[in-house]
This record gives sequence, C-alpha cells and structure tokens, in this order.
Amino acid sequence: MATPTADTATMNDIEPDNAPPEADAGSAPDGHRPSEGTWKRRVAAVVTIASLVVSIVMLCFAGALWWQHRSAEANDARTAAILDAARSGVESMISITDTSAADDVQRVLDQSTGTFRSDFEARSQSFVTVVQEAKVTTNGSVTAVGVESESPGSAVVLVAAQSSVSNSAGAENETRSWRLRVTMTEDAGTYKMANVEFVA
Amino acid sequence: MSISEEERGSEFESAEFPRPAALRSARVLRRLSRSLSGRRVSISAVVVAVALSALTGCLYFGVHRGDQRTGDDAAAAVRQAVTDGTTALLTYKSDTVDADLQAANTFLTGEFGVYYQSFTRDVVAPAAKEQHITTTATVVGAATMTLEDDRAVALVMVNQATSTAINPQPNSTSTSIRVEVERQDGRWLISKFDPV
Repeated sequence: MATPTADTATMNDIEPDNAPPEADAGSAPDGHRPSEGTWKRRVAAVVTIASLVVSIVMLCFAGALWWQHRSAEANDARTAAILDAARSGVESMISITDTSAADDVQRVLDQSTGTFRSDFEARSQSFVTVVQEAKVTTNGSVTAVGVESESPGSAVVLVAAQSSVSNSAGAENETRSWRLRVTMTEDAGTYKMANVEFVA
Repeated sequence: MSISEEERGSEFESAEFPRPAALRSARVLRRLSRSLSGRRVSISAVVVAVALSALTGCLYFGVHRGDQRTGDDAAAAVRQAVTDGTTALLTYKSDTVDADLQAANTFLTGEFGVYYQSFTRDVVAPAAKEQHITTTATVVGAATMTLEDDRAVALVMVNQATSTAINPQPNSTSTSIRVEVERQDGRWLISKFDPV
C-alpha cells in the first residue's frame, strides 16, 4: 500500500461504500434477510448503547446527589458555627466585671456587627462607667441555644442563659434568667450578633 | 414556519455536507456500530451501567435520604411539633382537664409519656378540678438545638398564664424548656421535657 496520506486513506475508506450492499455489515449476505449473526450484533449494539445511556444518566444523578450531600454537610457545619458564635457572644455580654470592664465590652464588640455593634459602641463608654462605679460583677453561662430560622448569610437563634449578679447596691450573686432572640449575620467569614432582643 | 424556510434549510444541508463528508461520517458510524456490537464491549458496558446504578442507589438511599431526614424541612417539622406538643402539655381548663390532658398524651412517647399520664391523672387533674385551675401556655419561641436521624432536641420558650379560684386574675410566668423528641411513623413525639 502507498504511504497513508489523508487522501489515500479517504479513498480507501470510500471504496467499500461503492461496493454492492451485500458487503455492508448491517445487511445479510443474501441481501434479503439479516442472518442470525447480524441480529446478534444488532442486539449487542443496542444493549451497549442503552448501557452507555444508563451509565451517563446515573453518573449525572450520582454527581447531583454528591453535590447535594456536600452542601448539606456545609450547612450543618455552618449551623454549628452559628450556634457556637451565638453562645460565645451572649456569654460575653452577660459576663462583665468592673475591673476588666473595658476589655469585656471590647470582647462583646468584637463579636457584634451591624446596628447592634454601632448602638453598643455608642453606649459603651457610659456602660463601662456604670459598671465600674456600681462595682458590678456578672457571671453568665448559656444553658441552651438553638436555631429558630436560617437564611443565606443570616440566622435567628434563641438563647436561654443564666447569670449571677453582684453589685454595690446589695446584690450578692443574684441569679437572672435570660431569654434572648439573637440575629446572627455573616461578617468576614464568621457569624456575629447583629441584633439582640428579649423574648417577651 | 413557511415552506420557503424549510426549503432553504434543506439547501443548506446539501451545501454544508458534501458527499465526501457524508461518506466519512457514515464510515465513522459503521466503525462505531461494529465496535459497539462486540460481545466484550457489550458486556463491559452492561457491567459499568450496573455498577454506576448500584453506586447511585447507595448514594440515594444511604446518603441523600439521611440528609433529607436532618434537613431544613425536618428542622421546621421539629419546631412545629414541639410548639404544638408543649402548648398541649401545659394548657388545660379546670372543667375539661381530663379531656385536655388525654389529648396532650398523643404528643408523648416513652417513659416521659408514662410519667406524664400518671402524674397528671394523680396530681394535676384533681388539683385543677378542686382549685379551679385554668392555665394557658403560649410558645413564644422554638428553636432546634440538635437534629439527628430520628432524634432532636429543641429549645422552647413558653409564657404561661394561670388562674385559680383564689386568684382569678391570670398569673403569668415565663420559662425555657429543653424538649427532646423522637420520630415515630413520621411524627415527632416528645420523650423528654426539662425546664432549663
């Protein structure tokens, strides 16, 4: 055979088409009815194609399921992070000591964002003064925290907490119960308190 | 569509695919069909299809269904169930106390259900009738603390207004309750009920 250039290859391949139809793989040698061998081959081709179609569909479906699973896992991790942040934020808020009041307030501000942060910041100076003058010591702990609702970038969290309060006005480890509804919003990759209100 | 457009379409086809190209694609098809009809190729394709179907089945039933059981819909169902259950458990009128507490039992399961039934029958109902106690609970907040396959813990905040024969003016109390629920036949039932 000559050097297989593109042209000769094409010419060689065209030839069988010019040959009589008997030579066609899809037809029977006698030209009337397909032989048993041909039928087997056709069935095999159909089975192969059907299998390929099923494989592709299954692969797509599996991919979609896996992607959904990953996003469900990411959601769970996000919820856990939100609850941790809310617990920590509220605990900071109800644990203020006169001797470290400025640092305690800064810790709350670090865990706050949005209007809650700016409101608290605006009042922080007078708050620190009151805490120091009244020799306030509050020690709080969160007893339960859960998700009330979630939306992308934000969640509303309910927090039940207790704190013991001592001050110069005579309170000696008085226990206070808190029921708070805290809106947590995403801020630079973490969740912070954007709104805190009492559950009435 | 007008006929002229169809005609133009067929003109395009004949223009775009001259005979040598048509032959080439026919050749490719024939080669493809020849290789697709091979016995080994066929069997391999079936094996791959079965394996992928099995994998997808495992993902669906083993992973996806599990995710659904702890997804947003499940969390919402838990909050609704603890809201309804807590309201029923803590609400009764002195003259319908037996029926009210009986109805509340349908929200409960396990040891807590047994305890609630005997406690309300022996203590709560007689007192309610004797002292004309009527109490109404309002859930002001419900949140999911944890949610696993068939178990969940919720935080429920309740305001309760109680009146008695001696104090007909309702007396209000606020509480937070940690409520555990279990899923049974698709229903979330209360299995633990502890004030925090």
